[in-house]
Amino acid sequence: MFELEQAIAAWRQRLESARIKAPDVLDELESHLRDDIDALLRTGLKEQQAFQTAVAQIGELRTLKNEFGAEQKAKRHILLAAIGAYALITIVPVLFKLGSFADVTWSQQRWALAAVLVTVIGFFAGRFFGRILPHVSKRALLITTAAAVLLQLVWLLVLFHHILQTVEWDTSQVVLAVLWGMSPISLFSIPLGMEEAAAGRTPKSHV
Amino acid sequence: MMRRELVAASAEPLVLSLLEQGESYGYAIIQEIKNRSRGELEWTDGMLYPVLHRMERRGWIKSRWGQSETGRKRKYYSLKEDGRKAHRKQREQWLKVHCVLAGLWKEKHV
Repeated sequence: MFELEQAIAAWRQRLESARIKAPDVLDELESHLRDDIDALLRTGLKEQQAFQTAVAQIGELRTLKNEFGAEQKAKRHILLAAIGAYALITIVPVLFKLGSFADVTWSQQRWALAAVLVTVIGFFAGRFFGRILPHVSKRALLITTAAAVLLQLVWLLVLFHHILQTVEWDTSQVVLAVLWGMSPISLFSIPLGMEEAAAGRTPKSHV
Repeated sequence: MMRRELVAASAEPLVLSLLEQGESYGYAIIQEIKNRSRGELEWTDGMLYPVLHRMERRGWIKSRWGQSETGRKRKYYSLKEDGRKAHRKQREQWLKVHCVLAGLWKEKHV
């Protein structure tokens, strides 16, 4: 026996698992679906037929996902490109130099590598969270971004005023300071991931 | 059946023109467009909402949650001042395209 309410709830669930998570958007789509079902029922269709027709009419999951994904694609790409460019112009020359310094010890090279790894892993970890995080409000997003900025500043303060005061400055240590100094940039991937969760899509869904 | 690109390009001026006539909601907007185009403008319904949300973020339209006649939750959209401006601008542009095409086609028939 076909249960309309159950079918609608299941349809909504499918949208959610396709990462269209914002409750506002889901409510709006459901409201649309119900309007369409009502209109179809008035034409004499059975509940099940009306439901199936309305679902086809509003669009397949993939279509909906693409429509909602394309919307925010451009903005996110600019942001990612900016962060990527920033990372490239800082990390690459520093790493390149590191290889050519005579006074760099093996242990320092390992520490440098660790700094880069922490940054890169941190960055992707935050974005990965976007896939499993629930929907967040704009306010929560703002607070997280602010917290990330604050933490970055605190880290720079600690690094320059406490950690780096205790070391003698030679080239390799400057290199390490730069690499570790910029590692908190990975924190920004958390709001980025949250935004992805909010937008209801994954980084790869539109590729 | 119209090409997808043309349908997508005409979505904004269509929505703006409809909202110029007063507040409306997604389902009604789509029905109105389908009726007026006699089904020629085949929209996937879900396509409208990203368009509406984008226009809202641009500050062209605003939305509010209201109720349908049957008491269900429903999101209504209405035009803001910037939306009116955008509407006028898009109208001019589409009319220009229309005039050029009409002129060209007229010459052909003579």
